[in-house]
Amino acid sequence: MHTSALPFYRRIDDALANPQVRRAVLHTATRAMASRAAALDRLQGADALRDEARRIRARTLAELDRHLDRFVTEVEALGGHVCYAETAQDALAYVRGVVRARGLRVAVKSKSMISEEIELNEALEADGVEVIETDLGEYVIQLDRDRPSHIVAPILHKSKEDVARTFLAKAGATAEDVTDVPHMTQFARRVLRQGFLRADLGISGVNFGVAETGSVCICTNEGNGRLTTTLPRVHIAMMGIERLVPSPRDLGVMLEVLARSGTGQSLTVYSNILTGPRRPGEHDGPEELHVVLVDNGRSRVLGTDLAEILYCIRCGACLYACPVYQQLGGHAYGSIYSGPVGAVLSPALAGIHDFHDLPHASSLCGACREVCPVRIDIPRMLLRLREQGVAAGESPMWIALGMKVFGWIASRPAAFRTAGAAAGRLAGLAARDGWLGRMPGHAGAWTRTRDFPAPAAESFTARWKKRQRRTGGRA
Amino acid sequence: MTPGQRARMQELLGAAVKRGLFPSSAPGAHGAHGAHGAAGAAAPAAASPARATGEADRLVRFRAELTALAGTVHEADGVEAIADLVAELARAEGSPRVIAWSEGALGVPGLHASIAARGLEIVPPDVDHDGRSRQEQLDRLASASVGVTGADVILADTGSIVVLSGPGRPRLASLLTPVHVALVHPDRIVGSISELLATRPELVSAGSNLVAITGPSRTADIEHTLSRGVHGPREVHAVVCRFAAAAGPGEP
Repeated sequence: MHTSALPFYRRIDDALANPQVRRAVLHTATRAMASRAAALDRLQGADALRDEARRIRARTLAELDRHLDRFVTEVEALGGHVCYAETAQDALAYVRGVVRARGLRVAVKSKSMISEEIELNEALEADGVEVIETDLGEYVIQLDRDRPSHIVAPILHKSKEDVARTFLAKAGATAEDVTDVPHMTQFARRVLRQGFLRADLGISGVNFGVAETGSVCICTNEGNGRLTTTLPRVHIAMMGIERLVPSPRDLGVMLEVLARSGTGQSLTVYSNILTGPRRPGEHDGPEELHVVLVDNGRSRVLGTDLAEILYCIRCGACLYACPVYQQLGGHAYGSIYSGPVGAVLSPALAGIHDFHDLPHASSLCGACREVCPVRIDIPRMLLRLREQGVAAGESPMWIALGMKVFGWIASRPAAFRTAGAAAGRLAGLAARDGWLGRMPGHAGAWTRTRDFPAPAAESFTARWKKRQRRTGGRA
Repeated sequence: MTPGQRARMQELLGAAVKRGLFPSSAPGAHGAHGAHGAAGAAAPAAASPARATGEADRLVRFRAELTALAGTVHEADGVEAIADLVAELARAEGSPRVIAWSEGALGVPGLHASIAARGLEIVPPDVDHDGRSRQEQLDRLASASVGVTGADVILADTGSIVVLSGPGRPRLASLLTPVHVALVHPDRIVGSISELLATRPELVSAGSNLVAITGPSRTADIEHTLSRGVHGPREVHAVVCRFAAAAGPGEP
């Protein structure tokens, strides 16, 4: 899940210092938000649908044990295999086991956040499997040994010149191949097509599993989700245990809100529903289907007050809406799950010690909650995680100590009054026209870019007392 | 899944679920949590502004939506018209090979012969996983220019073409070639994906693959600039065939 070894504030500084990335992220985020608004406007009953989508997620998770059990039964009845992977290691072990047992050598992958969470590519490559990312953005990321910066638009941070350079240097492209974006797309199509035709293993993610039918639904725009799950002999679907809905009808509701929220389209180009491996009489499709149910901390989160984050359908809207993400882009979060959802999910799954900074990277404006198709209350959980961080001792020393001192003073009225009066007088000395241009110590971080209002020379309590004395207690 | 693994899964999830789920309802929303979403029990309102009522309306809507996605909608009054279109598209792509559903699945008897009569070759659709034939099969299929399929249903609100895999219905016919031609029947049209899955959930299990195709393959990964034909077809042509006898899913 971790994508960087650098400390949090260093990552932020790096992100802010890169004007090209900032421009790209802000530009794309703005457009995406506009598309989303337009798409939802066009949809009659959009609000009711979002409520319904939330109910479906809540209902599913409230009885996840039952629904998941049904899912397993149905997949196996179709001749598929299901593995419950309690940890990332369990998931890796299963996939590597299938690869070994079937002698698989070349894997094509369509987008799977789970596979990045458990670092599947590295494990397979260590076993000598050739792994080819086929999502155009992920392919570029793979060539560059980079990390995706948005869960839906992985190379948000790269310009087309960056991509051209990568194709020239690392993919054997000619100058003509990188003339413009359509040429680069066609180049990638040709190269990756060869991968699809050679591969004996297809690895995909799962947008939604359907419990009643044992289906997995994969939504893509490029078509790589279909090729990955049609051409190779074996298909392995990586699925978070929470990515489930009970029935096809429920799936329909989720599909109505997913693309509209994420990309502003009414539906992704391919809403691909797979129910078991190839059937007798069919002409193509995989011989074998494996579904890996990845837990990796999710069952620990379920049934706590952070469980709501498991409603997430990975549309990416909250990233685009977040003013912090808009300035930083995804890499600064240091996790495969960035943005508002990542600020909750990363510490929830990995433990508060690992990503305790992320919940602080927020002004709690609530934009994420407003755009979420299943109405997840992210700000509530950010606050909760901040509490947990403090309780776990993850506050910087100066804040922890400072809060203790403040608490001592604030709970003693006489001390509070004295301190307030002293601060007022000191500030009076330093202020110009009612503003403090520079504050000492850590408070200086505030005044580096803006002024701080100076406290009044006299506190309200003091003025009130004076006024009472003057008017003899009458209002 | 081994019984041991299954038991472990039940144990962990059962314990988690028993702990109870927070919060009870969405902030500010009127949704109810848990099993008693009484209002939620009803099917959601059909997702469409000014819902198209008659089939004619729906077809107009379908045409508008697919065209907005850079797809093309044609009308064909007979077998020859379809074959002419396929031949024209194949010529433009520079390859005479075609991947096609069986005539039974298409509901257009004589189409294969008409296509062949125009100098095109309908390649065998089978892809084996074992044996030397796989490489040959894939080479032939990968060199095809046009894929011809039917459509089990089309979705008016989104301009989508829904196809189900099965005997006589290779997945690759709507996937591998740069051009996809889908023969659509005006009777088989519903409003939206949510309507389809609510009213005909059994379709999901009728084959190994049910896919709703909404326009040509696309990406905006590079600088948010739209490109078509990334991995799937670059062009999607829907041909409205009122004369055809539409075959049901599962009928070869």
